[in-house]
Amino acid sequence: MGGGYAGKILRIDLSAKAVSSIPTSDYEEYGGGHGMGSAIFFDLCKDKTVDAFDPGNVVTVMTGALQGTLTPGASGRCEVQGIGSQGYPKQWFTRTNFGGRFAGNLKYAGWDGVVLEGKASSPVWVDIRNGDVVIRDAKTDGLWGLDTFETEKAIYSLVGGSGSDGWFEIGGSRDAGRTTQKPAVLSIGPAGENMCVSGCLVHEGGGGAGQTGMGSVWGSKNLKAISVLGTGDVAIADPKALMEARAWAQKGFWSIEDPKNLMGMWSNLPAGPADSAGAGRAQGCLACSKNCHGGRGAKGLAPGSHCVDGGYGMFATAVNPKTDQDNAVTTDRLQRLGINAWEMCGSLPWLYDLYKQGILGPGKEIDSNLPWDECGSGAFNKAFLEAMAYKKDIGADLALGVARCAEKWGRYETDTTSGVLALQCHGYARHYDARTETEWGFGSMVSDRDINEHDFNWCMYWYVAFAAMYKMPFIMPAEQLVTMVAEKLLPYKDPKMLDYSEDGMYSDASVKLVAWHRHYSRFWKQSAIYCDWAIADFVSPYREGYSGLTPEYEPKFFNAVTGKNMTFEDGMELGRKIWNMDRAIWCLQGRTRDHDKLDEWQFLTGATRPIKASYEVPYTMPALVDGKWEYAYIDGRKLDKARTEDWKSRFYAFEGWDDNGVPTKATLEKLGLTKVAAALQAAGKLS
Amino acid sequence: MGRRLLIGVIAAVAFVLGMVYAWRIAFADGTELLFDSGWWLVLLAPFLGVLAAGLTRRTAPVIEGDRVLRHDGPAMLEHWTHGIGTLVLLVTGIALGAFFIPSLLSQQQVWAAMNVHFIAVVVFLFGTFYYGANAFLSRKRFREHLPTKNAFKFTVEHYGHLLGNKKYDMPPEEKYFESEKIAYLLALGSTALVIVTGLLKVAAHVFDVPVWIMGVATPTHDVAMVAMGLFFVAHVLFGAILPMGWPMLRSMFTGYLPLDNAKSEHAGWVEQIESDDGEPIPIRTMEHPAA
Amino acid sequence: MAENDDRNDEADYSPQSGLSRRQFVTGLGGIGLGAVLGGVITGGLAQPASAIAIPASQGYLLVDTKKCSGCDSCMLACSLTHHGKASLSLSRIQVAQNVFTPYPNDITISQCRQCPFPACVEVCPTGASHVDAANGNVRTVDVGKCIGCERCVNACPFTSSRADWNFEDKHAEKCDLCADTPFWNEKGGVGGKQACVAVCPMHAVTFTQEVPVQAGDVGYNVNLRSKDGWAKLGAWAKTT
Repeated sequence: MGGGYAGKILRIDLSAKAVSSIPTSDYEEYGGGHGMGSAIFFDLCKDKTVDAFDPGNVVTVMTGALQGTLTPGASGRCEVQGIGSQGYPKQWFTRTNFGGRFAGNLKYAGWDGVVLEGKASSPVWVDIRNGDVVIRDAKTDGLWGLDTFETEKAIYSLVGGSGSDGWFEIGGSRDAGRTTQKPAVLSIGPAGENMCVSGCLVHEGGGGAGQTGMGSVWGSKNLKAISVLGTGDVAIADPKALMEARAWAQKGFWSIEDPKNLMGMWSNLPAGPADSAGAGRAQGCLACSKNCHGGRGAKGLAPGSHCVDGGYGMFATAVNPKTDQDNAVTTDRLQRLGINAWEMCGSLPWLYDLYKQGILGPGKEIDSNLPWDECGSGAFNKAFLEAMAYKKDIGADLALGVARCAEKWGRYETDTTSGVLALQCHGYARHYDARTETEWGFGSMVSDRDINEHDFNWCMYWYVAFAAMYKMPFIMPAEQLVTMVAEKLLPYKDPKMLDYSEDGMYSDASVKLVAWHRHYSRFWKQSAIYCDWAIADFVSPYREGYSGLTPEYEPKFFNAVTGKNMTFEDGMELGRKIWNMDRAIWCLQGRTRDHDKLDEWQFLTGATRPIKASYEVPYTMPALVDGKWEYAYIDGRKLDKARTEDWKSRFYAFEGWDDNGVPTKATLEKLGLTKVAAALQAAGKLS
Repeated sequence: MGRRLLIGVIAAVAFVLGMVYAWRIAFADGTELLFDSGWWLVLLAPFLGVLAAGLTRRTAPVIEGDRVLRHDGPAMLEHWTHGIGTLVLLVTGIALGAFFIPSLLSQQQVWAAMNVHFIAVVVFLFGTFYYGANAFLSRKRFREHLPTKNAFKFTVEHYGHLLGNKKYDMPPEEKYFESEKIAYLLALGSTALVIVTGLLKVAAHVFDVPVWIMGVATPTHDVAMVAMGLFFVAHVLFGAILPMGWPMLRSMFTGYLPLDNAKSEHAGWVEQIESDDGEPIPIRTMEHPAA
Repeated sequence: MAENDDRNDEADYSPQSGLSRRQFVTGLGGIGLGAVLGGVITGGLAQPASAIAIPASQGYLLVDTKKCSGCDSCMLACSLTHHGKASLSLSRIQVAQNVFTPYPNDITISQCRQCPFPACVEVCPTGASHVDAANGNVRTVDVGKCIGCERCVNACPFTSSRADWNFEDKHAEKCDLCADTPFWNEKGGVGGKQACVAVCPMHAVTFTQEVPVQAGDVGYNVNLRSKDGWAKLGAWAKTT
């Protein structure tokens, strides 16, 4: 298979408590990570219409060729897929991923990934030590009921090796393998155990597969944790080329000796000691040269947590600025309980608004005895997060996910129309504004969830909007910027893709932008698995003319590790294949064009400042204004229904789908997805 | 006979005590490996063996009533020093690990095993060089160990006869069977290899031997060890474990084989002794079956 | 008939000029024996290893554990350049961490300190673990001579042992300051580059030719934070 791959995928039948393996070569054509996960799900999930909590749901935890190697912005990534509980109104087959040391350890243990099927009859955890895989009892081992940090620490003790001098023997003989490392643990906290849709997967404190409700899916399978400790190695096809690529990349990424920022914004948010958890050290995922995870401080709170993880606390303070709270303490609690911070970011402003309207509160229509009068305070946050995790108070309804909770309360339509409940689409809280940032909004609309892919977000929005807000000089005129970036958008290379004007966002070029982004992310970002906070690197203050490392970066490392000769465009085409497989799976789940929709408020309300508890700054983005490129202020825009529908039709046509958004037989066959076409045919979905 | 027994017992006890001492001092802090502090003994033992051979008088085989003298004192000395040395070398060598088959020992025991290996090396080298010098001094004794051109044929017929299958038409067996003479070549070759490579490895305790030499010497030492091991197993099986070898085993302690046993197993040799009057004895072949 | 001499006179046959074979053998044995004993007694041949002074290394790795981000890049670069594979277990520098331990005790870095009196060299029975005079006296393992006794692994006074057991290729190995890195295009060793130094994004490991100030078993007394870019931003904790 070439370098990089371990060669085997671990297959666990939780119902039978049986362990077997799948040769990775069976799925080689999908490249790794997400591609393999989708293909495995397609093969092994017999009835794709089941609910997320059905034992027939198949969850994959996949790495790719680069994981465990010296590739920065990739080595630590791990892609988790399955039917997620968060999707609304349908629980779409979806994805989430996380960093740290888990993916590397899977590779060193000799596994490219883990497939989880069925449901254990009682709570279990999986203990992987190289080739030895044992399904253990999570209750007798004292893990069920613990928070994520305590679970991980408990597993450190349970997975002790024999040996001394700091080196532990795994496997009991001189040459079975030794390590100084602790096992890498991915676990759920009480939120996941209680099958709350806000339940997520947590690794190493601050590593989290946060969205999609995958924690609750694990809870439904009675799976508490996976621990993996590997002492083996990953084969590298061209080690010298990999070392050279590393040296080349380091010159283009941020430097601790010279931390440049671009127009006031740091390059793709490198973190560091100055973070909410208390100054100490930065935390880096495996082999990364950006080390953007939040720091570890002297209080030991919320290690490795950053940005969004600490965002809930910031939101809580923002909704009620009169209160005070220690963000590190709040984040620490949130991580321990294993709660999706972004779900909280979406729900808290809504709930507080309902409280202020007198609809929610002690003895109100929505009865809640949480201390709403001090919403945002440390005491409130504690009470709220615990209510969420243990399904107390309104936590019982919120456990259904914010969208279904609103539905249960009879408030979904009203509140997503007014925008008080700012869900963007599919039951996910708004992230970046669909009314302005096209590829984010429309890209999310046609897929399974909030895409959470920041590739254009840094250079087209944050740098530009920040500079505009603080009246700092732009690094180059808008036309030059979009031309430079468009050169990297192989194979299309059309600067008009980056026209964020109102006309631009409904244009054919915008169709290409969204298509490019879906294809790029499906292979390069989620299958080769490059980290969203390093790659794509379009604009870099460390490089000549600010031209970032994309599209050289992606194939350079991939080929050095695998020995293959993949071009950037090859990866785009493979991404298109994987994207079409995903779309087909959603169609098998019942997807129609009506599901490709953004929540109502985005068509009725223009973006204004200040938005309820938003972290965003006013949207200034590149746009064609009267035929000339400008950095244009584009707040205040609403989406247009008719134009959006028309855009969708043209998008479908571009992708080779029918007018209902179903990939055609011809499209699938040309992509080598004949069996997928056959499945769609059998299900009566092909037009 | 009584004197030989006493010497034998004292030597055996001394050897055992030496091994125990070697093992135990390895566990004391700060002591050097015997290969480091006592390497000169490895050089001394061969010369001692050679000197001893120069001072040795041999006794020819002779029939004494109902028994035949097969192994004189020097034969027993060279056999047991070489043989017991080999046994201990094999045990400690295998325990130390070969071809990266992990050593059976903990790291402290490795030191101790090397020390015991050292003691056995000294005894083995003495015995082997004593034998070699004796063989140099008596070509006849050396030659009668070497296989003839009938080696394969006579071996097949010997064992065929044992199994009752083949027509027996080979001449009566001499002092050593052809199969034993073939095995002798294996012993000769593996001994030579193991000594040359072993001396190189000992040299590495004194000088900085280039690593490529070690890279050849160590695996070759391992291969020679396996070859010696094979010979050893076959030799002990046929010579000591199988009942048909017990009279021969006894002769390695007493020197004598019962005459009827010698006549039945080595009739040709007995004839040579009876007819021996000081003349060189011609080699018997199919073409020249009688002297 | 025990006095019956073996009737093979060739051994005792003396040609007109020269020695009989027996005389030759006896003489050879006697002279050799005398030479060996004489040499040992006068002590002119043997030089015990401990009498040779061990020269100091000309290179050391400095690590600042308070700066490290635990990314393990150094470990992966070490195994990659030495073995051509990605492995944490085959790395000669080890970063061990427990993210749940408060800073700064959450990370330990175990790099070879190139000890002035290297225990790993002293205990090696074959000279595999030695001081490499051709490479700036770096303490390193000549893997061809290693017999796998692991005395060096156990002799290293620090936790975790800086002399490691390579269980894939079955020999001991240790930091050689990149003197032998067949999978790297850069020149290593005390006069060249070190892979771990080259890849560390935090510059938490550097190279020096001067013996570092020792701080007992804990490591060196090193602060690499005071002058970097983040220090200029005032971003490091005010802990020393």
